[in-house]
Amino acid sequence: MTEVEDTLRATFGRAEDHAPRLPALLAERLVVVHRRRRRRVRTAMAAAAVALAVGGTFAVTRGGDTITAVPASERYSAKPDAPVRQVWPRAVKEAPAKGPGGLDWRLDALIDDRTALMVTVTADVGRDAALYAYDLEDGTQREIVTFPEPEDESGHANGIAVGGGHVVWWTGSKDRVASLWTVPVDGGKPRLLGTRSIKEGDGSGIDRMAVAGDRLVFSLYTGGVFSVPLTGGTVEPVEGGAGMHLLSWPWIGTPGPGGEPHGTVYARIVNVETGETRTAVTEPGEQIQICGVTLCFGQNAEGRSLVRHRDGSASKALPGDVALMDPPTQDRFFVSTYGDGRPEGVGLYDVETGASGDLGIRGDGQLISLPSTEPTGRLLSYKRGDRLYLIDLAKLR
Amino acid sequence: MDADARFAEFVAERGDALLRYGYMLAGNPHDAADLVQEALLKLRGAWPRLRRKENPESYARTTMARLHIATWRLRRRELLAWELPELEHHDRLPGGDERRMWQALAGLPRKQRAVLVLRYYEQLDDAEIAAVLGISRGTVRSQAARALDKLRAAVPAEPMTRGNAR
Repeated sequence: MTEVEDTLRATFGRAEDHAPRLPALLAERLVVVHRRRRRRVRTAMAAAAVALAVGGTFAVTRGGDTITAVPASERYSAKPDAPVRQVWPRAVKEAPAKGPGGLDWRLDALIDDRTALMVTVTADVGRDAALYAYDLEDGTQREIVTFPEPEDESGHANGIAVGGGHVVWWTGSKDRVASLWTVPVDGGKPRLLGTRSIKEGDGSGIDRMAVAGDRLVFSLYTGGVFSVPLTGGTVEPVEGGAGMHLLSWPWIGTPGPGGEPHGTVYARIVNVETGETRTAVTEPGEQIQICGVTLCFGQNAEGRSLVRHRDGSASKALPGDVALMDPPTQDRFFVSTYGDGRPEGVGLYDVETGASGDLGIRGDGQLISLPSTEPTGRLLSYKRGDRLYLIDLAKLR
Repeated sequence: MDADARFAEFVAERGDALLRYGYMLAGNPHDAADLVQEALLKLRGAWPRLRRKENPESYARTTMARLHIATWRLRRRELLAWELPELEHHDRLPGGDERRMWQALAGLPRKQRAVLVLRYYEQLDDAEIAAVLGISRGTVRSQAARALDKLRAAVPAEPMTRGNAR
């Protein structure tokens, strides 16, 4: 036994004393979650797509029935003063919780200020069935495309994004090739734009997609930013995009949100149009988890949640823990749970003004649902009863 | 007893041990809790298929190790919240070598850390580790050697104090 092995054993032995304890009633809770999940069984590949579809968001289901996730959070924020609709009336929109055919549907993006891109989800395996444009003003909907039934689990539609009059997505295959697809938002036949090997890594494939001008841009889970014309053609690497991940076009960054733990997510970002580079500042003792283009979230040396600019300025300790570790929504807002010893509700908090709104989600014991996000950071959505609520963060400004 | 009741009994009896193991793998209570939860959910799903000779605990432990080195974090969908100790609670580890070691462990790639946890915490031999992680014995050896090298560099032996202490 060498010294380092000795110390290692002693360290593990000592750390045992510090390990957390399981809560009572965990088994019962797990059984509930298990039953819910069993309704939408899917393979590991399809499960990987869960996260990819929303660009690296942790806390989202594609089943559409529950959007349930909770941070194992021990610090709660202050209860917001008023419902979110009172605080930001222009930002809150509604839709039915179910779409055509009685299928659950979810919100994936905004096509324009009044039109939501909705995705229906099959009841059996939670596969994306069809895309709809839903008019948030008059409540009408129009089918954009029905996804062809895939041959196997890897062929599901993933990474749905919209821009420039096009909806884009990708599908995988058993031999680990990603096919990149588009369809006009006005509807039509899906068109194959190109393919890209996703053999590297664990097959998770593409971590984020977007439409940038007349091109589809995407990054691989294992790193590397690529683009292909929306008219179809060769998939080409984006200059300076080697090893990088799409954040918010034209910003790309590293490290990406997945894989081995590797420090601050998107610590270094580059604007591929101007060449501007920004690197997140970390003070000693801090742990900065993730940065957007402007803001970062993390913990200070005392373990309190903090938010501040990536240049190190405007640092602010937050009373509660940030619940969704996405790049900060609109570089300004964060979602947190509030409550007294248990998560009672979910609030949306404005870092700049201190304003906050209650989303109206209620906790169930130690369980609570969090809203879904989407890769552009513009939308939050969540279900309550038979209604789907969406908050357009761009309207909060 | 139905499957739910037997599952509940198992969680009550072995849950804390699994959480300790998750804590060794993940290095922090939050990820440890997530790991245990995901593994227990998989276990509950597999419960009817587990044959009598298969041990649910070893199923859970294998699942946790594999989940940990895969990209499980991105795949989680539903998490339970529970009261956990302070985030930085490894700071409460005693000072000196063990604290430095715990911090150095945090810098290891997940596979390397998992190999060390299985070898030095779970006391498995390399063949068992290879089976748990689904990798070759050669890979176990090389991952362990690489990890130990890194730890040695991060926690240099101090001959004077070491000599006195041991």
